[in-house]
Amino acid sequence: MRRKAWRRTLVFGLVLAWLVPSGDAAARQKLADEWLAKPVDDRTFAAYLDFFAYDRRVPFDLKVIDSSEAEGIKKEHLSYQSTPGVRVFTNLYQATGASAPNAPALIFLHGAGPTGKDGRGAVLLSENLTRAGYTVLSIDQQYFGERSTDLLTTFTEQEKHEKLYNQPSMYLAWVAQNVKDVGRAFDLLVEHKGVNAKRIGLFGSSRGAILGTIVAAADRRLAAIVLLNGGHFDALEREHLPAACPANYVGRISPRPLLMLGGLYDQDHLKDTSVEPLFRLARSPKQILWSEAGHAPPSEKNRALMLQWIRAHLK
Amino acid sequence: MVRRLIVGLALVGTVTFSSEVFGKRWLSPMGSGIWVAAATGHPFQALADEWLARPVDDRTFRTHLDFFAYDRRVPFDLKRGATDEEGGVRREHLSLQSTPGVRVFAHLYQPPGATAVKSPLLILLHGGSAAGKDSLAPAARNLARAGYSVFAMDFQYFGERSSDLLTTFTEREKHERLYNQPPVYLAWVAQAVKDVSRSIDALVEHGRADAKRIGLFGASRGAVVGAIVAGVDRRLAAVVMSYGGHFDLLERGHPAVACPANYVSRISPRPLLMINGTLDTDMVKETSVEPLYRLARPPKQILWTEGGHMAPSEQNRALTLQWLRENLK
Repeated sequence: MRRKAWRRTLVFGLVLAWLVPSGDAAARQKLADEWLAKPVDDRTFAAYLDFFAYDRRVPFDLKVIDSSEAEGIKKEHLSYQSTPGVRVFTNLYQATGASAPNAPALIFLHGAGPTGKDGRGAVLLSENLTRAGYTVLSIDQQYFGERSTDLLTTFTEQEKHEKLYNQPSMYLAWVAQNVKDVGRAFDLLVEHKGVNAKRIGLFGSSRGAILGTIVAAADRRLAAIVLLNGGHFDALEREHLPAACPANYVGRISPRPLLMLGGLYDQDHLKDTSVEPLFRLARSPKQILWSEAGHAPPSEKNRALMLQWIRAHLK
Repeated sequence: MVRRLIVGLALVGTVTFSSEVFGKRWLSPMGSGIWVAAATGHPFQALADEWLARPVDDRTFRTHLDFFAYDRRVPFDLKRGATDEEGGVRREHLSLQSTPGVRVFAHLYQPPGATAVKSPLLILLHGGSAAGKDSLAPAARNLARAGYSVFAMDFQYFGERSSDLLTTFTEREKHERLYNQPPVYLAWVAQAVKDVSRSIDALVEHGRADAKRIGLFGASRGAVVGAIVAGVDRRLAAVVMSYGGHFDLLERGHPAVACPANYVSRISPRPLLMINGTLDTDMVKETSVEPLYRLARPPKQILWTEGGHMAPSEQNRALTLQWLRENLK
């Protein structure tokens, strides 16, 4: 009898030792990795969604700042009211051909350059996507491009991390505003530009891809998601709140299709620690394309595959 | 009999409809149109009552706290404006940067003959009046004469922070555009929480208040929001909710994060005083005030005056000051 009890204690102890990781291992793990291992449950997620909701009845007060046409692309420079008192500046790219109003659309989220949507890479990508047959609405994120403020002035990596990405409460407020801004951009496309609500996807690049992971899960109307050079965090990020962690969102994009594109030698979004762990959390349908490159545009071949993927998933 | 059956069926239908709407909201959260559709239709009361019956758990509450967090390193850029004096009470106009680019406007009232930090301080939150903080100037002066420094701040969209959102400040406008617009209301509540916390930081850092002797006094809408502020910012040492409640009569539903029922029980062990009117038609005793008070944990006290909104008896005014003397020294 006593022997049995002793054996039970031993078995219990062994199970316990196996279940509880050693303090060392836990300490070594990065703070933000917690949610990569175990994303938040649905109830917590529902609370996030409350904070991302917005009022559809706020007037857009849409303003056309200017408009130009060149090489088959009509570019309109617009601004709209997103939430009360907050204006978003945006470029709308449309093919000049007759089929333009019927084209599916992509909302484009730029990387963290000082000129935001007007950065060279963002403009080139937007124009390429337009030539491939899509209407593209490229919006400035808060604090970037035409929405610049005192918060970011030099736009060095150090400044962006110190003042925004590594300031958890500030970063979360920024994420929340951008989620609302995209939701409103979606409404704008449907209500003012006649785009079919079932044919709008999201394209995020770099920081816009990290943000895009969150936006895509929060706004289930987005039909297809492309994340270029995104990941769970960049190499300089130290921590973020669970509500601003892509790991809590990426698994919730499915059943809508997700395409990720990464660079094998990207020093910002490391393959092994940032990109692959996030991709593993995504559910099907999902695909990832790796280029032999750093934090740079995808290879020629992957660009072609990307357009093919978009054509297949956003018709 | 047949008629009763029809009413019964209609009720069943309503319940089903509401729960469908509720379920859908989680599935398709960005469809704020659903909120609007539901809000214009049927009593949403049931939705908001959910948390009166069962407040959110600690994990969900922590998520709310994440969204109320703010960056302490944003410069206050404190600006001191005009000062005046009335009945021995000195009043100074202040403004400070709360969150990046957002300024709070306030009046700081000082008790007669007081030096800044010696007296305890009350943060005063106003009701839904166009004048904002200045609608409570007489109350602020009374509290100052009773020995308190009073920091009366404008809520976003009110007083000196007026915007296009509210222009007529009728009950209808406030409800249609703010209180019954869950996303706008939630963002407004979150900003109010941050504004109070940042004001406390600024007052303490600039030697205008002792961090351990700061209380909250909310009136009407300021009491509804005050319950949330007090549940979040644990530095507030004593909390007075004057003519607040779970919701006012025209409210049709709010998200969990903006529901006082999820905060009021978390004010304890700090003392809570509620002051209410038995005939208040905005904050109804049986459906709005008492259920909320029941959720609060001790130490708590409620003072009832026979009467309507914002009309406490002489006796209850005296008891309020006595309660403050005992609980905020």
